[in-house]
Amino acid sequence: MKGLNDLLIEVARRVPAFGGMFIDEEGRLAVYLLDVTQGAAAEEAIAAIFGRERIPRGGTRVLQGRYSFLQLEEWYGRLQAVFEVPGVSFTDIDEANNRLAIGLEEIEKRDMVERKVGELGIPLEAVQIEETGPIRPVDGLS
Amino acid sequence: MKRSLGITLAVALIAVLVIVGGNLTFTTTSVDAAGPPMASGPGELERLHQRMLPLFEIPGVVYTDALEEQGRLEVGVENKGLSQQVTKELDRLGIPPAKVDIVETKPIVPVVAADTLQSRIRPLQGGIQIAFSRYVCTLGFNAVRLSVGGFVINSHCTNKYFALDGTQHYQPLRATGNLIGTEIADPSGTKNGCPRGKVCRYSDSAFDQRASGVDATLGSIERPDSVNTGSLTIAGSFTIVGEATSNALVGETVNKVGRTTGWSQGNVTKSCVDTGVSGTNKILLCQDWVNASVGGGDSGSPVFEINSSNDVTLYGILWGGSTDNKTFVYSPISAVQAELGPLTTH
Repeated sequence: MKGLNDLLIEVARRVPAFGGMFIDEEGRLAVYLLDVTQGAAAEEAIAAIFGRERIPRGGTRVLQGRYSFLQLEEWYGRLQAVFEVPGVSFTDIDEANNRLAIGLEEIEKRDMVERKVGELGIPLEAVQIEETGPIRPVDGLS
Repeated sequence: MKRSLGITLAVALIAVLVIVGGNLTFTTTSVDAAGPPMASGPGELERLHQRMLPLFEIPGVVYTDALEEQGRLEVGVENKGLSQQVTKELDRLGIPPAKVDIVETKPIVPVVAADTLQSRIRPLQGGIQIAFSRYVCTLGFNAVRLSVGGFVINSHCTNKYFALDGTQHYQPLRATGNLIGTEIADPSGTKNGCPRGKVCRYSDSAFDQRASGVDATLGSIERPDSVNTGSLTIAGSFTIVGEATSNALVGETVNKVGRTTGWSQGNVTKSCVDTGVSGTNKILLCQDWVNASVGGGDSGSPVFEINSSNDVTLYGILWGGSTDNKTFVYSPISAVQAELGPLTTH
């Protein structure tokens, strides 16, 4: 099985400046690049990996990225350890913000999580922390 | 106009059993001008009214009524061309036609309560209520796995989360005759590649073998009559025509159909997110989050993208949500198939 991150890594191996992608509010494929002149190469790689049909009719637009996807993925491999902090609801490579992201059930745990991120050798400025509340199964009583 | 309680409807004679819970509505248009009131009292009026019952043998007679305040009788007909036939029959019944107003009215049709996502539904389709133990969930989608016909549900909608225990599922509720399937696949979680002290899987999914004698429509998901309204009324079906090969992208629009909040549509806000299940040691790896409504009982809802009209691409199975019920989380279909094995879904 290939998750989204596996596919984005394949794009990044072809175009190392690639930092991630998402569909923007205008329906275009927004692509983060460290080198914004690499737009055509990135679009070619995305079409090859995802299929040309995944590129919306609105086309693509390039955004200035700060981190390459390969760098984010390397940090993300370490980031799983933050689940050792009770109340972490998610970890993510946030493709829409070219950052990593951590979710907390209660924002009061922010200091503990930031400490853990530091211990893992991940720069704090590369991580966005947000409060999500608990994520629960949604079965119901009959 | 005050009508007597004794109004008699043709449909009442033939359809009373199927209009329970429904509404009856009609409008009337006068055909004949009202004549003089009857000289006799209300008792006599009602006695004549009761004698009008054979009028319903004339096709197109809708109702008869005794109008107490006017001291007159009334017959409703679907079209005024029936007036002559009605008048002849009134004569035969010994009821003076001059005392009866014949009015045109629209036909009254029974309004049968429509099926909802919580109704008993056969053949089985995705998006309908299922039950086990003391809980209700949603049937994800029908599928064939290793030549066995069945359906996909959430692992947490079985008696043991991430474990095969042969849970029996019912539709819509636990009752004799409602058994629809038995769990035959529900992989255990792994600690490999999982944060310390946690158990991980890539999907909250399990597979039920369909009970014998229960029909299902492969590729069909119930379609409620409106989106993002909470309506549970079924108005048709979506048809699965393909499956997503990976997670959705952030910003893509997806849909779900669930027994509690119906058809919801929203944008993917996070993709391929390792998600901790609150209150457990379980982590679901590489899940997608969507900003759309969800509620208790929606677990198992099929998640899909609409291609055109009713044709959809299956994206996964919903399992969780935020406590404000504004975000749902689903397991991608690619992860479901990686864990349950190849599935034929359409």
